[in-house]
Amino acid sequence: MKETDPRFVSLQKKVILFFAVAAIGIIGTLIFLGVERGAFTPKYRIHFTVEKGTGFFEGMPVKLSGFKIGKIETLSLDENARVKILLLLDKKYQKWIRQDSRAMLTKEGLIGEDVIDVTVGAQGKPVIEDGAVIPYEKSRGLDELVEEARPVIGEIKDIISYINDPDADIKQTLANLQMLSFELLITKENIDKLLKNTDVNITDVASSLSKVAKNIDSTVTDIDKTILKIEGKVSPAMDKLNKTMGNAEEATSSLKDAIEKSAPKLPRLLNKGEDALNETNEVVRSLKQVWPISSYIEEPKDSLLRGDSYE
Amino acid sequence: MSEKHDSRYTMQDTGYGIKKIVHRASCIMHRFCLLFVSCFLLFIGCGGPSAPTLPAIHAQAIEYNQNAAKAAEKGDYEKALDYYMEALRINQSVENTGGIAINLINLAVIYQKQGNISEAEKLIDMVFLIPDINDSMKAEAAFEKARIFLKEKELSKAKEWVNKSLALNKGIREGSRWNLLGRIALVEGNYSEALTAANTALKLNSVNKQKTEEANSMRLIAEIRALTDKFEESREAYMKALEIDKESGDSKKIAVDLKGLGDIFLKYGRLQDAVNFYIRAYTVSRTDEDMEGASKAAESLADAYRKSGDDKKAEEILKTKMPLDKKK
Repeated sequence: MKETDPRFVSLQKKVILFFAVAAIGIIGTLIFLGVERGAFTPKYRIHFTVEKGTGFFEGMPVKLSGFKIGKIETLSLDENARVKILLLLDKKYQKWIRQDSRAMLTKEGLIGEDVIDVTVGAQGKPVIEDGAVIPYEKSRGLDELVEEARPVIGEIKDIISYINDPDADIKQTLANLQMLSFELLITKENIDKLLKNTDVNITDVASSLSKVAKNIDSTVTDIDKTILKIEGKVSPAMDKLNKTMGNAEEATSSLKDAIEKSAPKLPRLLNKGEDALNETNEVVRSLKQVWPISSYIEEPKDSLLRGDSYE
Repeated sequence: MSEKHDSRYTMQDTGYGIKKIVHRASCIMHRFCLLFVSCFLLFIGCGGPSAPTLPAIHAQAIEYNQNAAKAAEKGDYEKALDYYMEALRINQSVENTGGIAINLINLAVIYQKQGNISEAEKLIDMVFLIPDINDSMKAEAAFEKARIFLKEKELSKAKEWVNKSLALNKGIREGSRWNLLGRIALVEGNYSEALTAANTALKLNSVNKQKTEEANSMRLIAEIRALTDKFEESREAYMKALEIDKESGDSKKIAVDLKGLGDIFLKYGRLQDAVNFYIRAYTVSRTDEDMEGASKAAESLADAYRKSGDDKKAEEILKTKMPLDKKK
């Protein structure tokens, strides 16, 4: 049967052409996507082992000097139940990753995503070959810093409660001191009285004075003893306090370092967030103007508070 | 040969069928595309700004006004005052008389809620100085003026201003005006006039679907019935008011209804029922952090216990009331 309708003449060829073009388009797109995603870029693998796989995940980006150079390909347990982390990296960056390079699990800023950061190796060292091991260095995140600070806080708390404890040595020593000062006050009053009576009976005064002097002597001896006692009690507490303060200082400086590193990124992050919000607002505002959405949105107007007849 | 010919014919025939299907499919596709494009163009045509947008400054004033309304709804009157003041300032800067009047009235309402009657009166007087405001706004201001006079116990002036409000504009708020007239008559001791006004208000509020004012009408009727020794009618009216207030979720009014029910039961010697209603009123006020309402309920509860001979419990209740009075 010969095709007589001019519209169907060579229709078969047209259909084949159509499918061919579509197939070429699909293949082209796949190739383009592959190139974009680096599917055709030469790759190589290196690995490291950690005690715990917490914080790592497949596909986690690996960065070198802030540039993404690869990702975690697989996480697996070895014979010793340690976690083997296999990194899939672009071959072109291999020249930077040398024997003294280190891999670290770190955060991009205070609130950034987790990444594996690889340090640049020294030029003189040999490059890490495909399948070789890269040393892993544990980096301290905020959580660790807080964990470190926790015992310090605990120690400070202990010292404060020790000082505040009414039955503790320090409180009792202070009470003793208070008593001694009271005794000193009485002694002073006695001296005042004696001085007033000096012109009446100088000899009595002299004898009384010697008594008072003895009193003072014994009181001073008591004070000495008490001070020595206090010293004995306070010194260890002070040592402990000094040590704790040292720890606290160390923890604070680590925390400060971490914050200083992340601080420059914060304004940028906030600006980005604000920009995104503004853009979203703009989109929403524009959408509100479009029919049929606009017909459901009431134009804002002043509302009048109605007085209640019962109030 | 004949078989070969037959098979060739069949294949050609099948090929023709496929061509037909492909042709029909392409026709449908064409039509669908045309429909889609037409719809798209139609939507684009209808799109774009639906109405001219408000000038930025008016929009800003409205935003302050709406924030104030939200604050007032939450009971944060200080914040509401700040927002209304800002809205008023913006409206004054562009001489938007409608906005000025609305925000002045709103400020007066908030000041009344705070008990600052003199400030409220000043603001309402300012509304009447604004030129070109509509009668509905004037009617609202007159109603506020009447409420202020009622609070100041100047009953004749209050009545005069309610009537002015009614003369200016009736609308859906007419029932609230009648309620106020009823309350004025009740304070005057003119129960029959109060009842007539309350019944008129009830009808109007029911028709106009003004739920809060409908509950106010029912409560007013209940109060009048209680004063005229109509226990059962009073109880029924209170129960209806309570039902409406519960629907509206107005805790203060719910507590007032419960306390009212307690009062009528106490009046008729049903002490246990009275105690139950007072406890409910106290609980509602306390959880709503309405210390004044809680204090009143506690006082009534103590009274009920005293009347039932339990002086010890009455004393205990009065002790719990003291910190509430401080917090008021």
